[in-house]
Amino acid sequence: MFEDKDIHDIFEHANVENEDWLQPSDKIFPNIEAAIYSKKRDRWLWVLLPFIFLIGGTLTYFYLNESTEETIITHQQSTANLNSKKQHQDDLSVNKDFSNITRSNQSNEIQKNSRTILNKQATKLEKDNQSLLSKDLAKKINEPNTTPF
Amino acid sequence: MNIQRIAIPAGRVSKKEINGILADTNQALQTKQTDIEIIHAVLSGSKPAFRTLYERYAKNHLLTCLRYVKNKIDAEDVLQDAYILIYRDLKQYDATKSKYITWSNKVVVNTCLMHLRKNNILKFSEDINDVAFQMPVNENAISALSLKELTQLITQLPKGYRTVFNMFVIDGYSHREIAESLQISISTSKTQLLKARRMLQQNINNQHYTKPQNHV
Repeated sequence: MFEDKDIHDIFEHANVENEDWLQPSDKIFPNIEAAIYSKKRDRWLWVLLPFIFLIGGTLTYFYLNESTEETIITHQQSTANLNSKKQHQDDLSVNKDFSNITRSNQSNEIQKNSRTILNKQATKLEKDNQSLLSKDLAKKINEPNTTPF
Repeated sequence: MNIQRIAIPAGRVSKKEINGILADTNQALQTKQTDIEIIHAVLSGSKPAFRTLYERYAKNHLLTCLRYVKNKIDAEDVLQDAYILIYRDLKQYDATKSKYITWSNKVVVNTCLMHLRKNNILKFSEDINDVAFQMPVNENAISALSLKELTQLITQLPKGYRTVFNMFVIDGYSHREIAESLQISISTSKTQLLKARRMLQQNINNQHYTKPQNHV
């Protein structure tokens, strides 16, 4: 039987430099390199991925926020315009009503005033008539009886 | 660190010349740098250094793969996987404990075992007929064999025998380590080794007697 040591030494101290049958094919190293460096790239990608998400998320948040603010402002503006239009219309109708009311009030007042004035005049005339009558009557009473009965 | 001077042509440099310079650089790195220097360069991110490391030991590692896997295409696949693992684990390598070739060879052996396990190749049948028939032992039989012939004789062994034989005789594992690694009992490991030895002896003798002798 052979000695284990003999076989061990043959492989341990083998000079493989001139053993061309042991030359790996040319595609092996490029495959190894591709696997190693693509893995490295992948590792970087995994490291960078959270940052990419964070930045992307922040940008999206700001973009959405800005557009929401713009929408709100536009909405507020349009609402304000609508409100002002409505207000204007309301004002116009109120003014119209108010002018109608004022007009009727004014005519009522004029009527009232004229009636008051007329009443006053009538009262004064009556008072004047009465005083004249009383004066005539007193004069007639105080006058001596000149006429024979 | 000694680096050989490489002549760079003046003026415009063609692609062919660039390839020539790169080849010279690789050769210079291969011949001058020690394993530790190359490993430091690889760890600091040098791609040419990793190529140098590969080119320096790829043949040794392919030989290991061929002892376990038999088929060259499969052996190259295993070598590829092993080098990816070597690159990944290179920072764990401790130069004070072992040589790079010893450490990297262990990674290659483990990758071979992983490949055998993954493909369900490892089967240890106890009832294979013992190789009882023994031929007369020729002392010069082994020394007369080339590395290629001896590797071929080992790869002719059944997979279970071959794995245990490679691990115990060539790669220096103990029966306990083999048993743990292959999930078999220590006695199975011993039996497989004994049968492997006998079968290999028979194969060596066959090879020796069938080989044409050179008469002076």
